[in-house]
Amino acid sequence: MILHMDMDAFFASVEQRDHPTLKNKPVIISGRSKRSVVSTASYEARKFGIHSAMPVFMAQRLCRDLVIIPGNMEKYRCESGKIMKILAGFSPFVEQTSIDEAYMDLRGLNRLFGSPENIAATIKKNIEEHLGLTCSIGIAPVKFLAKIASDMNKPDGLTLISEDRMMSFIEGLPIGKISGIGKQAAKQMETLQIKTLGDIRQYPLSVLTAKFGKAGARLLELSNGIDQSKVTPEHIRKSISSETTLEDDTIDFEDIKRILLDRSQIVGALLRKKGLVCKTISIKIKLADFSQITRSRKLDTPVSSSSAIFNEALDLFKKIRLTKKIRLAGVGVSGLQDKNMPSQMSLLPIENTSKDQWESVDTAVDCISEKFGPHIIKKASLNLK
Amino acid sequence: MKFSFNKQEIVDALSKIQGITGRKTNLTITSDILIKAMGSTITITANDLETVFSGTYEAEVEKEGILSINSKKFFEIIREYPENFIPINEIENRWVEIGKNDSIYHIVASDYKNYPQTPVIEDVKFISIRPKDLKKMIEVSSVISFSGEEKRIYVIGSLIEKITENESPKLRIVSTDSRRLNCFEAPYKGTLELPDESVIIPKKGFSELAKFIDTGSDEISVGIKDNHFIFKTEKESVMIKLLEGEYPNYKPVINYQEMIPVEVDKNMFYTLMKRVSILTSDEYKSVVLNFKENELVVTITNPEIGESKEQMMISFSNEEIKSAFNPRYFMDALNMFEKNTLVLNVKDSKSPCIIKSLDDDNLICVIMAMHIS
Repeated sequence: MILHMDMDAFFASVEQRDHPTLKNKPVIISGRSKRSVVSTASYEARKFGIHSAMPVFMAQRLCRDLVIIPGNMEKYRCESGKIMKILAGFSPFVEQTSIDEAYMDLRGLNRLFGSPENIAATIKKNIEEHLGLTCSIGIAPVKFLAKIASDMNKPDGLTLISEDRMMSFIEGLPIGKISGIGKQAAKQMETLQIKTLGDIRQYPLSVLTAKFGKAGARLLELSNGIDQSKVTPEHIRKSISSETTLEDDTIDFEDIKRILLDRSQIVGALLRKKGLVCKTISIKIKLADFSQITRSRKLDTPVSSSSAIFNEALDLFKKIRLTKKIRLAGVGVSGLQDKNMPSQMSLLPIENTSKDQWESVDTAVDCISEKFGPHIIKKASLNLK
Repeated sequence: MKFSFNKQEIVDALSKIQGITGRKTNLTITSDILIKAMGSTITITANDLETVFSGTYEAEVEKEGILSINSKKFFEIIREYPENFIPINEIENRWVEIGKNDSIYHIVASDYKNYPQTPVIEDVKFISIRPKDLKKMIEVSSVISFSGEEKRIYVIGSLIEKITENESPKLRIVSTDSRRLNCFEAPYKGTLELPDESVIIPKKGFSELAKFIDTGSDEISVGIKDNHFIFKTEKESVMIKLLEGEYPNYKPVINYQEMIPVEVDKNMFYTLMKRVSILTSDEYKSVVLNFKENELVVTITNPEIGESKEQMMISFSNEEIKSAFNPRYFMDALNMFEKNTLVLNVKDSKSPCIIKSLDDDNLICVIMAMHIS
């Protein structure tokens, strides 16, 4: 069985928990600017028809007493980490799919934690007790149904689709609930008289693939209760990057240099935290007219020190001929590999020293930041402004 | 200008200089060759701003002159031309006619005044070296290549050094990319004057030289003067502009005195390395060499593909040594040895493997280990 956990109005719930005056009030979390959209709406706000991705001004029109709170991603990420830690206490097979959602493979947990319902109830209890937040859980024999189940009794829901009930559930499952079925596909479905997932089975594979391409084959599998997708713990990261939009567009070399340095530090710290080294370094520059420039370089030997990343990033930047002001700059690394993977050593002592030294400086800085917070130590040039 | 020549000799020369004129430089005209018709000869020049070739060949010159023409196109036309005697005629301002009767080509030439100057180097003291040895020097230098973005002078170029320890002087070449290093020396005759006893020659230009070496001849003349390495035969010469920069102190790298020598049969070891390299990939390049009591065990584990184990009898009685290497480097190195009994000098997992022949130290190949945690 597979379990899907989805936090209830995650950001809004966190804020309501931390600010009791907001309890039972329509609250939305959004960005600071006037162009923002709703990122989460509390259940009280949802009653007014407010939903995620709706422009803030429209939400305000729907509900006059709406409380608008600028989001605090740092805090939510921290809470998310705690939730995932609770899940990890049950099984190593946990796949986090977003900040407030995760799948868990329940196979083999029977003897330790009891039935799937028991596991779900314990998870809900733990999250409630430790964090004061509620979540909804769905359990089903296959992944896609677990997600649908978790959405069925929100908030604070617990829905189980058993093996026996699965086929009848599919029979009555509206086709629009399947992820990937958009408006366009739904229209096509209608002409084929497909209303529920079960209806798919009336058609042979050839018709479905002709109509829906690759998705046709998958739909047929799903309609038979088959979902090949597995719970894959921790996505393998292919790249790490960090970018920032400048407060004011600039063309000043020193300004950009400082931003690249700052971003390199962030990327380098993340890289080292994950025990990785990178082989490719890239930069991204967005100009005032929104056109974008990216440059990248593959290195001979993998690196992880922020200085090495910065040096390459700066070198790439110097080769760009700027004609307009810059509004965004970022640094990225890819070609990631385990730092313990065998790496070619150099024969010549002159090459190793400076690289090794910077790596040990960075490791020391990482330790200090870990202990005393990220702002306690940084490059002096980043303090100028 | 107007002249005609015999196809074969010129086709040979043109084919050899395609590497020089094919190289991208800051000047587009370097993809041209310069042809100068004078007296009863024509002189062909190719110049990529680093390597300059010049060859003088017999021709029937009706009207003297100079011409700058695209090397690749000129070569292809001459090579495919159906007859052995080919006339060239500049009919009007830079409009060149090649051939006559049934096959006629008209090509636009460039203004020869824009062609880069050929350096004039006089009074060169040439030394003589065996063609086989010079070829080996080039091979030793160019087998360690580099990427287009390389900036380190000692990787772009190879060191040429004069060794006068014994009575007979030797010329030594050292090539490295910091992961491995090759060192080869060969005797020469004559007097060689070198600034600081050593120079750095660009690997690219030096490798072009290989095409001009006539292995049938007894001796080849080379010299170094005015910041150029000069190669000369009766009709042709190549001048390579030397690089300026520091070359790292490589001597400690080739010192195998305090290492443990392990004798191996070249062919057996080569084929073993070739087999284990099958399981390497871009991500996993290392194989582990485990030197044990009378046995060498080579293993590779590539999580993406699988694993393999090879064993080979050796004479070894020291404490076990386990060290990781890139097997391709061994294949490159082993290929260069002519003798069949080689010695691998090893020490520990952080030291290189130094390969030499059992009988002499003419060729030494050093391969640095890979770091295993």
